[in-house]
Order: sequence, then C-alpha cells, then structure tokens
Amino acid sequence: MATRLTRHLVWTATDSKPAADAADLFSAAATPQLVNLATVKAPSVQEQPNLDVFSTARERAVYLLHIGAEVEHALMAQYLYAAYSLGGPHLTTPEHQRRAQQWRATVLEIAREEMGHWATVNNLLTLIGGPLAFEREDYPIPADLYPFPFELEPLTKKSLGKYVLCEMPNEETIKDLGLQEEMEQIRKSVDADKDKISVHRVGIIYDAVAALFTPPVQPKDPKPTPPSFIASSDIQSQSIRFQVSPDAWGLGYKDILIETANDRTSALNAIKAISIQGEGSTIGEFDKSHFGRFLAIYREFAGEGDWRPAREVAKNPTTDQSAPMDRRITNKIALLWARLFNLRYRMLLMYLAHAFRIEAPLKASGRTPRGLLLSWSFGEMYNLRSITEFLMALPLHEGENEPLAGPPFEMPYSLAIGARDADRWRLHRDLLLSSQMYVKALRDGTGKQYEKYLLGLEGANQSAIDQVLTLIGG
Amino acid sequence: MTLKIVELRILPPFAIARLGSSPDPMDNYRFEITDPIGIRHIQSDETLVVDRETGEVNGKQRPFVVRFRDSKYKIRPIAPFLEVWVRFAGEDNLVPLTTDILSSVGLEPSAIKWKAHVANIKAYRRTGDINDRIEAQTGSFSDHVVHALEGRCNNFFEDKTIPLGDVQYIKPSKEYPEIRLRFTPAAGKVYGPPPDPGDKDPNIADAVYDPGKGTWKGYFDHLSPDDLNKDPIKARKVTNPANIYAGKAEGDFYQISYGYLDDECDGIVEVELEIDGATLSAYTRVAAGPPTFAPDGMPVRTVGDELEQAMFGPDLDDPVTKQEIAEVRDIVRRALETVRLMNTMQMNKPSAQRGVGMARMDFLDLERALEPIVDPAVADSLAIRARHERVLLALEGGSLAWFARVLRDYDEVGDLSNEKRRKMPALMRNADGRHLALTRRQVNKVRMAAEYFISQTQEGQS
Repeated sequence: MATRLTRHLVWTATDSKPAADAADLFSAAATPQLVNLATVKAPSVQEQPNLDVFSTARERAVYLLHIGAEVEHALMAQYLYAAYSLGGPHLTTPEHQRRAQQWRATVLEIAREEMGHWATVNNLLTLIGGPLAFEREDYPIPADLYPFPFELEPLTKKSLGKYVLCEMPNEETIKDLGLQEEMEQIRKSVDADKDKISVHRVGIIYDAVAALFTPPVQPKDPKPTPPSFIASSDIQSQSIRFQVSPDAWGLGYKDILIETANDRTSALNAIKAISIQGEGSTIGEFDKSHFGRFLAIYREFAGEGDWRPAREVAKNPTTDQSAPMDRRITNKIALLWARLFNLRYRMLLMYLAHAFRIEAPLKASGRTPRGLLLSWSFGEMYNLRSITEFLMALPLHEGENEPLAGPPFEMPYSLAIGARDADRWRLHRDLLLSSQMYVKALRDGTGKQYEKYLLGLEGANQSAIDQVLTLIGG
Repeated sequence: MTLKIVELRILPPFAIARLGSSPDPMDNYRFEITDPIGIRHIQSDETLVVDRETGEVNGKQRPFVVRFRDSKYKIRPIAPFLEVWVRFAGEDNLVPLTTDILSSVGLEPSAIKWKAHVANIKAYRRTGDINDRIEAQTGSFSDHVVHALEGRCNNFFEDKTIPLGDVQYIKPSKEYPEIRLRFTPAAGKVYGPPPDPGDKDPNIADAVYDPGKGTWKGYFDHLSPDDLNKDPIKARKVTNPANIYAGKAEGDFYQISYGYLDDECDGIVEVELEIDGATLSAYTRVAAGPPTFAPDGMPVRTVGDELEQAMFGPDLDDPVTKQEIAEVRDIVRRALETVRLMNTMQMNKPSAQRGVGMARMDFLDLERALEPIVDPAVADSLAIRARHERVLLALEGGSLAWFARVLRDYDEVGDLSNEKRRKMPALMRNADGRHLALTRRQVNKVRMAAEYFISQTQEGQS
C-alpha cells in the first residue's frame, strides 16, 4: 500500500528557489519541495516531488498528510527501537549506565511525541474528510519517500546523526543558530555522500500542508480553477468528535502533544505545534525540540572505538525465514515473541483505526466503546515495550550470544477495517484468539521463565475477548 | 535453668473486628493471586473453633467454602484473637506464651489478668457533651466466661446500655496451650432515642438515648456563615465534609440529627502477669468497624498505609528492596481492585446533584466550573479497568513509568486544574473533601520502583 505513495512521487532536481516563500506554493502549478540535505552547501539545488497528478488542494493535502503520517509512524518505531537498544549488561560503570538511561528516556520521549504527531496528522485527515493513514512499509525502508533510508538499528553515533539531520529546521534557522558547520560535519559523518544517502528534511511536508490550509488573497477575476487552497466547505468542524484528543488518549496528561482541529485556524495551529516540536522549518525552544534533544545526545554520544551505549541488537530483525541470516530471527523462542510482537502491533493499529471511526459521546453520560479501544491501545504500547525487552535479551540465533533479537515492527498484510462495526469487533476477537495461541506456545516452550507475564497476558486477552463477545452478542 | 520472662506483648498490636449479628464468627481466610491481573481469590484457612460456654478451643477447622453469612443470612462477625507473647532475658525474639512457659515459672493460666476498655464517642465528637460518651469496661478478670462490653452513657435512660461486643479469655488446653483472648464485636445494630409520639422507627433496635438529658437528637453541624460569626469555635469543630450523620436536611446548611447511635467501638485490651513480685503488662488496640462487602479487594489507600508512613516516614532508603517492589505491585493491584468497584462514568459526571463525584465537590466547595474530571470518552468503567489491568500486566514486564508519572502528590489535592484533577487516584475524595492522594510514602515507593525497573533494564535483567 505504502509503495503506491512512492509511485506518485517523482524526485526531480531543479534549480528552483527554496520553498521558504509560502506564497509561491499557492499557485496551481506549484508543488511542495523537499530539501535535500546532501546539498546543504549548495542550497540552490533542490529536489521536489512531482505532485501534478493531483488537481485539487484538498487532494494534495491528503496526499502530503499521508506521507507525513507514514514518516511519523516510521520515525516512531525507529526511535523506539533505538531507545530500547540502549543499556545492557555490558555497561559496567555507573556513569555509563546513567548516561545510557538518560538518553534512553529522551529518545523514548521523542518517540512518544512522534506518536502524538502521527495522531495529529490523522486528526487533520479526519478534519478534511481524507482517509486515515496508518500504513507504512516494512524496514528497511528505501529513501524515496522518507527523509532517509529507515532502518531498525541500535543507537549509534551515525544513526543519531541521521536523526539530527531529519529533525533539522530550515537552513535559515540553522544559520541563525550558528550550526552550519556542525551540520555539515554531521552530514559527512553519516556518509551521506559515500552511501548516496539523501537526508530530506521532513518539515517541508508540513510547510506545504500549512500552505494548502492558508487562503491567499484571491483575485476577483478570474478566480483560479481549481482553488489553490482547501475550501472552507471541506473543513468539517463536526469531525472533531471523531478525532483523538489528548484528554481521551492520555487521560489528559500533558505527556503527548496531540492536536485536534475544527477549523482552518486550529488546523494551522496544529501543524505549527508539531513543526515546532520536531521536524519543522523553524524551531521553538531549541532544548525542547527533537532537533535540539537529538543534537545534545549526538554531542555527548560515544564515538566509534569508545564505549558502546547500546546492546548488540540486530539491524532490521525479521521473522521472514528467507531473509539474510544477519536479520533473520531463527531462535525459536525469540521467533515466537517476535511474531507475537507483530500481532500485538497489528492489534494496536486496528484499535486505533477503529477508535477513529467511533464518535466521541456528546454528553458525559454517553457511552461508546471508543474509550475501551483507546485504553486497549494504551495497554498495547505497554505490551510492545514488555515484549521488546524480552526480545532484546534473546539471541537472534540459538547457540550464539550476539547479535540479539529485537522487535521487527512488521506490518500486517492489510490494515483495512471491516465496513460494519460488528465485523471490526470480530477482527479484534480473532486477533485476541491468535494472541492466546502464541501465549500457549510460549508457555509450553519456556516453562517458568515468562510465566507471570504470559499468565497476565492470557487473562487480559480473555477479559478483552469477553468484552468483545458482549458487544457482538457472540 | 528457668528462663526469665522480661517482657509481655499482645499481638497483633492493633486488631480490627467487623460487626456481624451471626453467633458464628467468620472463618479465617487468606488471599491467593493466581492470575497476575485478575482478582484475588479467597481461600479458607485453619480456624480455631471456640466453645463460648466453656471458653475452650474445640478444634481447628478449614471450611470447604468461605461464607460471609450464616445459614440465616446473618453476617458473620470477624472476631480477632489477641495472643500473648513473651520475651526471655537475653533473647531478642518473642515467643507465644503457653501453659508450659507459665508452669516453668510456677504459674497457672489464672495468673493472667485481662482488662478491656472500649468506647464509642461519635456523638460526643459532635455535641462536645461528655455525657454523650458511651464506654464499656470489664474490670480485671482471669476466668474464661464471656465478658460483655456494655456501653454505658450518662445520657441514656436508666438501665439502658448498648452492647459493644464481648471479650473472652480462651481457656488453654493441652492441644491449644497458647494464652489468647477473643474480642467479638457487636451485631451492627442502630440505637437512638424513642420515636416521637405516634411515630415508629423501624431502624432502632432499642431506644436507649434520653433526649431529655442530651442534645444529640436535634443536633446540627454549625455550618452557616452566621454560625461562624457567632461561635467560631463551634463552627470550626465541624467535620469536613460535614453533615455526615443520619438526619433530616433543613434549609441550605443544616442536617438535623435523628440521634442515632451505632455499636461500633474502639479501645484497649490489657494483660498483666505478676512474676516474682514484678508486674509485667502489655496492651493492644482493638476496633470494631462495619463488615466488608467486597472482601476480595483492598482499597488503594488503607489505614495500614497511614500507619506505615507514621512509623517509617514518607521517604524510603535507596535502593528499593524486593519487599518494597512487592508492595508496589500490591498498590497497583489495589488500584485495579478499587476501580473495579467504581461506577466511573457516574463519578465523572459534572453535576451538583448528590450521587456524583468530585466535580460536584469542586463546584459546591470551591465554586469551580462544573466539568467532568476525565474525558467522558474514556470514563467508561470497562475502559478504566482495562487501563489498570494493562498497567498491572506491564509491571510483570518490568515497567511502571506511566503509573509513577500520573500519581497525585500530597500537595496537589486542592489543585483544580484539569491536569491535576486527572491525577491518580482519580475520581476519589479524601478525608478533607478534596481529591485523594496516596500517602507520600506510597508515592515515593512507586516512583522508586519505577526507577528501579528502568535500571534493571539497563542491566539487561528484564
């Protein structure tokens, strides 16, 4: 599914000027441009996606938001993987342990914020009536759509460099911050030239979406056809009740930035908020931005030959038994956990997809299963974390100590959700029953080692199954 | 060589009985946790069967099924045993006092002297009239008959008392040589003044209170602004929340007391033993409270947590111990058990009517705008329960970070911002009518455990 997005994206080198001037984007022919950081020394050379296939502003916005959602989704998983790789029994000094723990907490925080961005992008899609975007490709992901080739890898100085470049604000801001030279060094250190890696700045996507939400001064005669911005009639305020709010998601704690929008202004504010926190062209508080936080870690992070903050986990681990051996999980127990991880990951995505399709209750006394789905989603994140910890303590191949396995974050064959509500619940039931099968297999195969967790998971599954059966009368 | 007894203790140092009208006291039971995120299971345990006539233990039994009511559906009271323990000279440990030990120092069980003194001062707490104190004393005894705790009060009618339970020195035997006393609480009945002429009051088991002598009937909490000006001391004595006694509402402020009294009590049981001319003594505290109607769950904050904080302070030593990790697990479990019993949707409603939760309290007490506490979309009981179950499950996977972050601090109980009102425990009221917080020690324990889990992961020991 995600590859279809790529098909419509043709990267072309142009000599056009940078997209800093938003007004340029509003002409019917203008298209959003992605800055290639490999060309940071020569900013006049730009890349741009050819989006001419789309004729209306709304359609272009939907397309760009889908790219945004995929990128946020992929970043989130990638950062989670990197964060959980930090630490391990090889860290023997308290100072190394402390620093790894601190970095882990920061990267996890950023990953959580990417999830908030992802939810915000889907809220914006909901606002303009676009289809939701939960898809992405499996790792490793080629760079044609993404800021750089996405890989699940332990956190290293090089991978950190890529994250810094990806979250970097625009050139003007970099110049203001006096970071041009440092960025150039980082670009070199990630071997951008050697590996032909083009690290694109994600923020340009949001710049372009913001431009499409902004009405320019319209000439009276003749009016441009089609309009160069999203029509007011396509911005649906009532959609707010289908959007995910921070109140509903985190019970109101300000952990995660999730923006909702019910009009043009709030949509622009939402885009601004996620841009400022990460990936945007400008920067709010440097220390609190993703860029600032990654750069701070990068500066402190151990270089090659120095101490190793991360565990020796595999790159892009997979359950695919035809994949190269350095990625393939062959350890039977790790494979079961990895497959269970994929299943629970799918469950999380399906809960979210379903929750977005249920209206929030109008009154405090109104009852809908939306809250249940959100609570389950919340719980799934905990499950994914627990299973990740188990995986990162198991070798990829039996009989070897390293590399260790890790969560594959493999996408299911489909994220399509049934047209009828009862069928959506049937899907949840089926996935829960599948999870029970994995739990049984793991209990049979591991004895006492994970007994308590598996017993608890079994109980949680059963309780969820009972609730689903109550809802669908089964 | 004869060991010298140098210290007496009664264990437990604080025993809570639960009211019940059945003549058959409750069997012992214990909790078993078989499902890490499921409810506790009640398992029967060995129970001493006492013959009330002789005071002897007839034997031990372990019932097949734990029943909280008898065959006539009467609630079985929880009647704790209070055991005497001793410490010998040069020893650190306490051992149960038995007939053998008594013999070794040349004493009979009759050398043990017991005394009980309990009271119910609920009416006195409000009226301030010392004649409203209900007290019962046994005087010293060494026999094995049942000693009734007859609650007397100066404002009662002549010869009227409220039974506050009884105590019985269990007769030691060869099979059961330990020295123990049993406190059996009262039935859980309501007493009060006679109904007004021509009226009937089906609630009252016996009309004991003389409204001609005391003021408890007709009493009201002095709550109005005028009361505060006229008699600030009296107004300040009002409990917060106020008006929490049976009565009839009158006007905007007043709740006129029916003069009801219950048969709950608390007090002290003492034991004395004279050895070689010296008198050793010990005491324990007893209390009788209402029955538990959700025995397979525990509240998230209990008297036990208060006592622990009072004894050890709010802070813990670093690093957290395995025992403390287990206690944190128990706190999270208790949180789940607490929400299991809550109608969260109802308690989240923004209404000034009775029967809703903290939004009402914030509105009535502090004139905060009426708003639900949490987003109604997630206030559903099943959703909240599912969230707690997942947190408990995550603990098995070594994570507690979210739970630790969202706990309410003790100095946030009156913060009415939306974010703070949603802190945990949410939707619950504390004794001052504000949002409930866990004890400082509980909060610190959870936070330290969360840090411990993170460091464990660091060391690859998840």
